[in-house]
Amino acid sequence: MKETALDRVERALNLIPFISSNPGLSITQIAERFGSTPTQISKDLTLLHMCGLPGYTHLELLDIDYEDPEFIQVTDAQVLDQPRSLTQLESLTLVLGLQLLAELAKDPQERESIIALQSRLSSMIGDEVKNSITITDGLLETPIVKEIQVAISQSRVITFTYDSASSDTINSRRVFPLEILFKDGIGYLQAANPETLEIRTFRVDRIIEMTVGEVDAEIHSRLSTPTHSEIEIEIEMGEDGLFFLEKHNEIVTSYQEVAGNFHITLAVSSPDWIKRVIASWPSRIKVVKPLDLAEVIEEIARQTLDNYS
Amino acid sequence: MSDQKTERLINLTMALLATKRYLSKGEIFSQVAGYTGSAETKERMFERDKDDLRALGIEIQVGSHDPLFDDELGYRILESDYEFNLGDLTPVELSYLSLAAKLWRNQLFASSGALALVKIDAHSGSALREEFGTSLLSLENETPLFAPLWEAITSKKLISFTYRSKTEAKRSIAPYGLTMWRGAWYLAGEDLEKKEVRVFKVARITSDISFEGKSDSFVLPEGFNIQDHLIMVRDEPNVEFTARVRVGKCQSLRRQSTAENIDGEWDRITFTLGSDWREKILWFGPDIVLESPKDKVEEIKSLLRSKL
Repeated sequence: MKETALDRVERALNLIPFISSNPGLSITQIAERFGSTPTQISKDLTLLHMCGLPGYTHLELLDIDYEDPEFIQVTDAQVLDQPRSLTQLESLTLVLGLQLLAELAKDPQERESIIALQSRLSSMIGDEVKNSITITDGLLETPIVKEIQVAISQSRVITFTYDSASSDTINSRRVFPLEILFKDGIGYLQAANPETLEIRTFRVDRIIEMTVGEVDAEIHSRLSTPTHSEIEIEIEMGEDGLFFLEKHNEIVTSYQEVAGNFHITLAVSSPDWIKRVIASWPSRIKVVKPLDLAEVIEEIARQTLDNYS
Repeated sequence: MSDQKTERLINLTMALLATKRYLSKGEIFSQVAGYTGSAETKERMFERDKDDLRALGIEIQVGSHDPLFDDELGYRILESDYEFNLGDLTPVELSYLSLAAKLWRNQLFASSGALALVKIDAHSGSALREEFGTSLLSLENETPLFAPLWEAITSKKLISFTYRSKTEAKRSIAPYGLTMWRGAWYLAGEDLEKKEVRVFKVARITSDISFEGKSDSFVLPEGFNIQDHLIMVRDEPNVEFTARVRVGKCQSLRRQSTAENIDGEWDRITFTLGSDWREKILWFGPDIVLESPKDKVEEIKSLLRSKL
């Protein structure tokens, strides 16, 4: 989308106080923070250089030092040394985010200070907006999240016992935690094996006991894009295919719906897991491809049913 | 052209912010760089510029130099309206705000969070505070519909969209609010056809959001509380189950109770599950045999038969 003059004015008014309080950043660093390009930021600075207060001599103009792209500073910000107030939307974003963080905080004192900060921000939002966009019960209870977060921020390896749903076993894992992602309120930990650097996903609520270990600050540089070997699976199901798509959208590569019947293609890296997902779905899912998976699924249903006779 | 306008708007903002008294139009036209052309042109330019700054959320005060005389109106921007007013922030508070801002993956909140952080760092000079990784914690609730829904709710525009439940149908709604429940967003609003408040899962909206009409097309009912309309929040019934499970298997179910050993192959356990009990039990395939309640045993058996 093409940028309007207003978009530029808004960014420019934020640029001056930002650079003014954070002198010495490079043009690339600034561009990153503003979600823009170094070229665009250069243009903005050139333009801002011509702006100022009535009089418009060098005493009244904004004074920006941008000759060295590695070291930008504002030597005279005139009246623009303070950032603009937060917009309603910006405040709301922070208020809702803080609410989720408070839900996750285990330590009551910490929770209190997050809530105090939240109400400070909350007072800046109009009541109607505040009551219109809310969080009812954001995340399922996952107290261990906070400890993992600390480990992530300090680049520490963690060791935990894990109840693996796909293999139905409990064993010990030593991983390097990268990120926690919430989906449908459930926390998932993305973590790398410190030796093989393979990236795996763990459900946070299946982590039983955890200890935080040593710092490994170099691991980020050793991590490259993960290579997953994925298998392609095609399934067919009835109208509850809609719920399947919703629940497992991250593995769906394409789907078609014909008269309430769904034909879905999946890319999956864990055969153990998908086997259980299909076998436990509360209606029939027909596996079209691969054929050996279709046989396995049917065999599971047969064996399970045999137990009851 | 666009450069000139950008420059003029910045100059105007700075001039109105710097002045300690109201500036009349005449003063603005003669002092602020960028106002050129006939009196009429300048007038039109200024009217548009005022609207533009207001659209950016910059409040312009209108008043007169001297309240005793019927003076020409003047303009200024108050520092207290314009400037960041969250007060001083401790390093711990900064880190909370940073996490809160980066939690979001939906485009609207992700970009407003990034902008909020730019302002916070401009206030605190904390742009280089130490952080590892880009986001430590994030919510996968990406929905491109969030931005139009936000607009519709805050400016009270009627909307329509296609929604999937059992069938797919077009809905016309007066959107009252959004709430997040277990990581997913729900829209509450009056269904204009059914004349009652309904709740829609945003992820099941299959079309774009169309605006039907102007701003302020409806009034939020007095005392409206979105939570009152969320049926899914009400407690779901839990059922107690007894089952035989293979030794060393069904780990997550075993965590609820102590197992009673039957023989070398089987243990017996008791556990409670909610409405997703079918998936939870079938997950373990032939490693679990449900024993009670009887009606659930029958249901599992017929479900298994349907899978063959």
